[in-house]
Amino acid sequence: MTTTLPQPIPILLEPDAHRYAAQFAAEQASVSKGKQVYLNTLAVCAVQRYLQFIAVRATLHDSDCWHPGVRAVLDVADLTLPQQGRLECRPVLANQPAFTLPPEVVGDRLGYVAVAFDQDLSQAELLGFLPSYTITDPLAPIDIHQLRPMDALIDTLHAPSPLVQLRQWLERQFPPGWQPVEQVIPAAVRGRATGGFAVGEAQDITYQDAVSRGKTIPLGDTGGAIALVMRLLPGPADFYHIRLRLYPSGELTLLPPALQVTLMDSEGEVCAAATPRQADDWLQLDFDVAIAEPFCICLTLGDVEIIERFVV
Amino acid sequence: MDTTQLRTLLNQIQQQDEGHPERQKALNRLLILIPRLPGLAHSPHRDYPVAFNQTLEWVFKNIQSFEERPPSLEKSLVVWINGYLKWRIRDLYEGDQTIRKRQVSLDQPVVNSSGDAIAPLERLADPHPALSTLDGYIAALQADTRQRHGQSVQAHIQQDPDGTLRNCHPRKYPNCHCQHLALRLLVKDPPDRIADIAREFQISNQTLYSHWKQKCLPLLRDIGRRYTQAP
Repeated sequence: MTTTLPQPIPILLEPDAHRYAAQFAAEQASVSKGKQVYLNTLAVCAVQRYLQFIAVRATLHDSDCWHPGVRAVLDVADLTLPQQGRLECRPVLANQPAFTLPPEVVGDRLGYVAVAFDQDLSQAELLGFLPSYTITDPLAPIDIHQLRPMDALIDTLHAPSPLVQLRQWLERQFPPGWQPVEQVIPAAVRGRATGGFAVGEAQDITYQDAVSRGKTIPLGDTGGAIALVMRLLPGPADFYHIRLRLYPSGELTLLPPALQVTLMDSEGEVCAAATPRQADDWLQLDFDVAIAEPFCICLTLGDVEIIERFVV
Repeated sequence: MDTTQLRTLLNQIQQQDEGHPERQKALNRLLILIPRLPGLAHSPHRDYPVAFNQTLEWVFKNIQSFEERPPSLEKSLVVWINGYLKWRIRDLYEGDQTIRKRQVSLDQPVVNSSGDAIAPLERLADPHPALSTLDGYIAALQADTRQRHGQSVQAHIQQDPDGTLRNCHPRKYPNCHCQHLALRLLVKDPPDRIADIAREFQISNQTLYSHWKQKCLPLLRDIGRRYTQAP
């Protein structure tokens, strides 16, 4: 089977991009590091220009590649998209059939834009995009035929809720809203609920590799809320064990019996579902997920429906 | 692209609000199409990319006001774009005139960052390197830069003054610490491969990769963040 590459999007490189690239390259300790920084800077400037064209806000000042010390030590070409995450812009040399991702850019990015340059460095070409959840083996080179058209970046940016990258949790990086468990479960519930999440975890040494975080999810305008707590535990091979728990929060002291929690795969197929019994103050779902397989947790209560999307 | 496809594309853009995904996807196709339009104004001026990119921004913001005129959709699009682009190109040359006049009237030598006098036109040319000349260009830039962040950060890794890097290693491999790995994976030129280091220490590839990624890189990033000001 032959695959065709997506049509690249050409972006003319402005003198300012070269000025930044020259300034940053001059700071480096060696020519090869300087070249890496030069091309990274051009790639980032080209993608930022592209995002301006399609009205997507991107900032450089809080990106690692714009930090003099960080770019001197790491191979980074990141662009911050406020409220969304970071996009990595990887330079790819002409006729290069594949490229590798340095470990420092794997895991905590929305995805990767491959950027090629013409010989006289006057034009960049955005070859395509790869969402980060498609990277199953971070050590393996990425064949450029795996790249998706830039429309895939737009789909990622408009996904209904940001995809929570659980692999970042293992590196102790958490997206906004995900807090330590004890800050999410109300004290009254925490004391009462049997098998409390934080307590059980601390006592059980087999869970030393587990990472837990929770999020408070308001149930519409009802004043009630649900504390959604997830524990991620690396399992054998490419699987992860996930324990999900729901606790009442906000004005709720018990879980509403009409509440339903559903686990769905990326196609929307229901894999598991549960509802609390009368007077339950916590509810649990245990399941395994494979690396790079997105899944959704859907909470429904009457007309209120909340979907949280995840991927390891 | 034929006229029907172009018309469909323009309609898609005109009908959707800014930031709508369907509009953004249509803009992706227009970004590929516009540079290929025959008859688009061009200039050898070094800042032409600025004029062209400003024009694209203007086109995408104002496409609602574009109207097809005879003889064809494609030609009227080119005329409409050129109506803006030619003015932006003219701005470039007028900017050059202003710089030249200022330089002549002040009768002062123009001095570059190295302190060397350069002719006004050379300054205006401000050539950027090609891929094939990039190494030499960067070597010259680095030679002109007395103190460099890269050297300061490397020195920090080599000295590891507080022992942070040396003290971080997989439990059974005390010599496979973050300083050793940073020297071989970041400082050495060309760098070693993780697989080769793993073989040398008889440690699994995955374990070494995880250690490097989850323990060493965050430490190194923290070290890098300390170097915020010019050395």
